[in-house]
Amino acid sequence: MYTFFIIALRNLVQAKRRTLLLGSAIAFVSLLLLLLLSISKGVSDRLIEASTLTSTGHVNIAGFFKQRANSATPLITNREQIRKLVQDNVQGLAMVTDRARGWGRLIGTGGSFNTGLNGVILEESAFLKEVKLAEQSEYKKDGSNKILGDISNFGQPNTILIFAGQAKKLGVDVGDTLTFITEANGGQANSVDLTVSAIARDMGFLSNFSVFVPRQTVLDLDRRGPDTTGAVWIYLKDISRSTEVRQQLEGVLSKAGFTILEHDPRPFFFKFQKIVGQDWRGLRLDLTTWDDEVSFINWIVTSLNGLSVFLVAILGLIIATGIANSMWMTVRERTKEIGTLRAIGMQKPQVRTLFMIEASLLGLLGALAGCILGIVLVSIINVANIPISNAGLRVFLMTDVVTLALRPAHLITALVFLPLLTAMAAFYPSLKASQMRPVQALNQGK
Amino acid sequence: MSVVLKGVFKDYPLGASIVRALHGIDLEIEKGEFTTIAGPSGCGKSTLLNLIGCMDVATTGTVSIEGKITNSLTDKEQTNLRLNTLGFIFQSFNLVPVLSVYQNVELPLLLKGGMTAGERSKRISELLDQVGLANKANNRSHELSGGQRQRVAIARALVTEPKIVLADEPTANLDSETGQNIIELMRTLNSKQKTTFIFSSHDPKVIEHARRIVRLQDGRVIEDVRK
Repeated sequence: MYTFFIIALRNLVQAKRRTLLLGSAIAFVSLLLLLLLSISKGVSDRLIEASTLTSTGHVNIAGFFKQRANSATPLITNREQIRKLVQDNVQGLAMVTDRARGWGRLIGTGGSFNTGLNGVILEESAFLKEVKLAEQSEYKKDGSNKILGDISNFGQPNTILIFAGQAKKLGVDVGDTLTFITEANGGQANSVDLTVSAIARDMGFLSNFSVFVPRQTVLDLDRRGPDTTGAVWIYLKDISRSTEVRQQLEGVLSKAGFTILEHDPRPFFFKFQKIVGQDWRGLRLDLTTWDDEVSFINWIVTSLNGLSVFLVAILGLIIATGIANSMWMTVRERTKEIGTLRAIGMQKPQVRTLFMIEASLLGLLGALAGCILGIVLVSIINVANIPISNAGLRVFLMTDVVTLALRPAHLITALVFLPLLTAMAAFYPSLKASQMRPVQALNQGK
Repeated sequence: MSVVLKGVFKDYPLGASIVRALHGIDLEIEKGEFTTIAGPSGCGKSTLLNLIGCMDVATTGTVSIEGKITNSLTDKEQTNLRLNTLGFIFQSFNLVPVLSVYQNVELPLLLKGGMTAGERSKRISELLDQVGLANKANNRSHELSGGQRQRVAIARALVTEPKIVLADEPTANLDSETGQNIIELMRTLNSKQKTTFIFSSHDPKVIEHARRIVRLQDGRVIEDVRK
C-alpha cells in the first residue's frame, strides 16, 4: 500500500499544473464548506446561548392552571416538591431555578407592547450574571456612549430590566417608570408601576419577547402564594441529554401524582389557545426542552444549513466532474503503465485502488489546504470583531458582530467528505482502467 | 516441459474482416532453454509471446505453462501466473516513471508479498549488482540511459525468481553494442539461474546469440533449430 501511495503522490507531483488547478478548486470548496458550517454553528451557538439565558432552561417544567373553561394561567403549584424531585432524580444536573411568569401589556411614555413577564430569582439567574448592558446611544437618539444604570440595582422592589430595542419602542431611559397591566387569576385587571433599573443589549429575536422583574413582583401582581411559579428550569452539564431528561422527568412527575400533558414540541406560550379551549380544571404540567422553546426561530439555522448543503452540493458536483474528467485523462495518459502493471502481476482491484488513492489523496490535500485557510480566515474574522451594520441582519443572526464557530467536527467533515467525493468521482475511470486487458493497454499506450 | 502450445490460432477483428495472426502453432519449450522467436515485423512474434505470457488468449488451441493450461484460467489466476511464474521485459522498458530504480524492481515483490523489507532489500541489491546498477538504486528512470533502463527491466523481471522470462524485442530500442550487452546479460543469467528465456527479435546479430531459434513467417513456424 505504501508503494501505491508513493506512486499516487509522485504522479500528482508530476502533473503539477493539473494537481494545482484541481487542488485549488477542492481547497476552495473545503474553505466554503467550513465558512458555511461555522456561520451556521455560530448562529446556532448564539441561539442556544441567548435562548438559555433569556427564555428557557435545557429542560423546562411549566404548567397550565385552569380555574374555569376558556381560561388558562401560566402557573404551577408545588414548586418546592417539583424542584426536589428534579434534584433527587436527574443525573448530570448543573443547576435548577424557576421563573414566575406573567403576560400583559407594558406601557411607557412613548409606546406600549404585549410581553411576557419573567420573575427571576436573583441569586440563581445565569442571565443576570451574563447580560451585557447597552450604551445609551443604542436606544436613545443622540444618546451618549455611557452605560446608564447598574445591574445590582435590579432586584429592588418593583424594578424592571428591559432590552435596548424595547426601551426604544417605549421611549424610556434608566430610572423612568413603566406600567405593566395584566389579567389576574380571577379575571380582574392588575397593574404595577416598575422602575427601569437597567437596559440590556439586544439578543436578537429573543429580546422582543421578554422583560425581567424580581420573582416577588410577579407573585405580588397576581397575588400568588410562595409555593407557585411559572416554570422550573433545569440546566444540564450536557445539553445533548435534554430530551432524555425530559422523558425521564415525565415518568418521575407522573409517578409523584402530577398530570402531564402529552409532549407538544412548541414553545410554552404557543399552546395557550389550545389549552384555553380544552375542557378540564386544575393543574397540568407541560415539559419541554430548549429546542422546543426556540423551535419557532429554528428555521434560521435550518435555512442556513439548507443553503450550505445546496451550495456545497453544487460546487461538489462541479468538482466531481472536474475530478472524473481529470482521471479519464490520467487513465488515457497512463494506459501503457496500466498495461505494464497488469503484466507484472497487479490484479484488477489493485489497479482500481491505485487510481482511487490518487484521487483521494488529491481530495485530502485540497481539503487540508482549505482547512488551514479556513482556520486562519475564521480566526481573523472573529478577532476583527466585524460589526454587522444591517439592523435586520443583526436580529436575524442574533449578534452585533460577525461571529463564526469553527469546530473540530467541521474540519473532520471537510477532511472526510472531500476525499470521499473525489474517490467517488474517480471510481468509474478507475474501474475502466482496471478492466483493460494487459495486451490491450500495452498496445493502446504505444 | 516449460511451455507447450498445441494448434494455437489467433484471430483479430479488423473492421468488418478478421485477420489471422497465428496459424496453428505447435511448439514445446523445455526448462532452462534460451530461445528466440525470430522473424520480420508482423509475422506474429509479439502475438505468440503475449499468448505465452497470459496477456491475451488464443482463439483456438491450448497454451500450457508449467503444466497449467492457461486458456481456461480466470483473469485473477492468469495474473497470479504472471506474477509468480513469468517475468516480462518490454521493447520500450516500461518502467514506472515516478518510481526509483529500487522501487521499480521492488514492485513485483510487493505485489507478491511474503517477504520482509530486509529480505526484499537483499534480493534487490543482489540483482542490481548482477545487472551492474548497484550505484543507481535511487535514480529515477529518466536519469538512466536506454541500456540502463533495460537492465532495470531485466532485474524487475527476475526479482520474483520466475521460471520463464519473456522479452519482446528487448534490444529494438538500443544501439547495437548495448543490445549485444543486454543479450549477453540475459544469457549469463539464463546459465546461472536456469531460468527459461524466450525473446523475440528480428535482428540477426541478436538472434545468433540464442541456443534455439524458432522462425516465424505469416503466423506459421517455418524453422525450429537448436544450436
